[in-house]
Amino acid sequence: MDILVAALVAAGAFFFLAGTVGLLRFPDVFSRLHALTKADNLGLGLIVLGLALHSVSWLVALKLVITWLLVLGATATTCHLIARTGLERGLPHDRPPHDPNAGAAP
Amino acid sequence: MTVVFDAVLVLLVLAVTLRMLTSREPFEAVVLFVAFGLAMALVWVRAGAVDVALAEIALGAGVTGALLVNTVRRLRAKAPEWLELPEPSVARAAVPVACGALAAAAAFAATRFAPAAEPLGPRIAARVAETPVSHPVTAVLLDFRAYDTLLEIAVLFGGLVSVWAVERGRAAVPPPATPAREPVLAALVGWIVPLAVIAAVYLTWMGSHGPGGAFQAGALLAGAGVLLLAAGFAQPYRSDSAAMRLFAAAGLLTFAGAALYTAVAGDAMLRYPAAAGYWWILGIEAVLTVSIAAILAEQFADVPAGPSSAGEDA
Repeated sequence: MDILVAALVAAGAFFFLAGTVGLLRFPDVFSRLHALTKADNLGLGLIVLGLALHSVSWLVALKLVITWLLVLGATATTCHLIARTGLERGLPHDRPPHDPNAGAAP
Repeated sequence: MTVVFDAVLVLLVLAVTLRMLTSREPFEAVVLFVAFGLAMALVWVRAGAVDVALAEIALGAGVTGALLVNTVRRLRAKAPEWLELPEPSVARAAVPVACGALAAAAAFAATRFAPAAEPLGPRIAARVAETPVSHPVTAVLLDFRAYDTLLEIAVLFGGLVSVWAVERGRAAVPPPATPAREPVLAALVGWIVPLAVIAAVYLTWMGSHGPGGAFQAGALLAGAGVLLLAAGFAQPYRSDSAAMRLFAAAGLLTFAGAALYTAVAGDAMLRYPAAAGYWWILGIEAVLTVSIAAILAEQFADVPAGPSSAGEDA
């Protein structure tokens, strides 16, 4: 069990690391958002899963899962708002602005 | 292993602080201030001070962060020259150096004190049973040192009154046109605000026997209010609205009333009647929660919220 917990938390940390590298290395706002939200949500999910397995009671596990869901909702919304504002302000990105996928990409 | 974690945490706090203080871009500095609050909250958790960590997150990082974002946005619109920072100079560099020296001197002085013959922690723990609550932090805040908390509320209310005084006489900000509702944000607000209200009630009640209480719960409620304002669901209130003034003053009035009553009719000021002490504390905490939320949220009072600002505030 401990090995499983450690593996899950380590995998979560890896996604955080990948997301951070993406945030630092990707060229524009939209691909950075893509790196951040995908990686952080998954990373936090794996860490929460690991900690929930590790936790002493199901109540703590439930609180952890609720935290993850709240963060999911908040980051997805924030990401959407930042991306939308970026599009409205005409920030540079790789795809042409009228590409139907552009708004949905992050 | 925890030593490694603590060392990394200390380095993180120092790095974020340094970056925040040397940042040339106000918005960046504000974001770093929020990051600083989150890192400090981890420090408080490591020190075992969960109540302080909660307050740091809710008040330090959350509400103050939103206030600072708001300030930067308003300055950008009204007085952008105020946001231009002066060039670095020897005089400016002297300030952090002097602060660092002072902190080092204080840290050194702290190591010179002999440990107290009778540390405060065990003394409080020994006497918590005499109070109506079982959480030592709440016992200190609302029983042993209730007078201090009463004055804190007075300071908070005084802060809002001075905001009102500054705003007074300025041209009334016209109520914003109904902002274009952002559907994704609207869905989130519809979920988060009821949850925040439930969590605030829970935190207020939790304060009687665990980490929580009026300040954390009030900050959470204020956050919900700020979200409603920023997302265009609520109109900014007018500071001359009687209802908003009552909400803001209720905490101070109730607390001061309890102090007066216990001083005149009871044994001593803020010594609650033994039988109903728990309900006195819970009642004061509940009214304080609403008042703190109102006071904090009203700092955003005359700011018209627009759809373009929602992204920054969320």
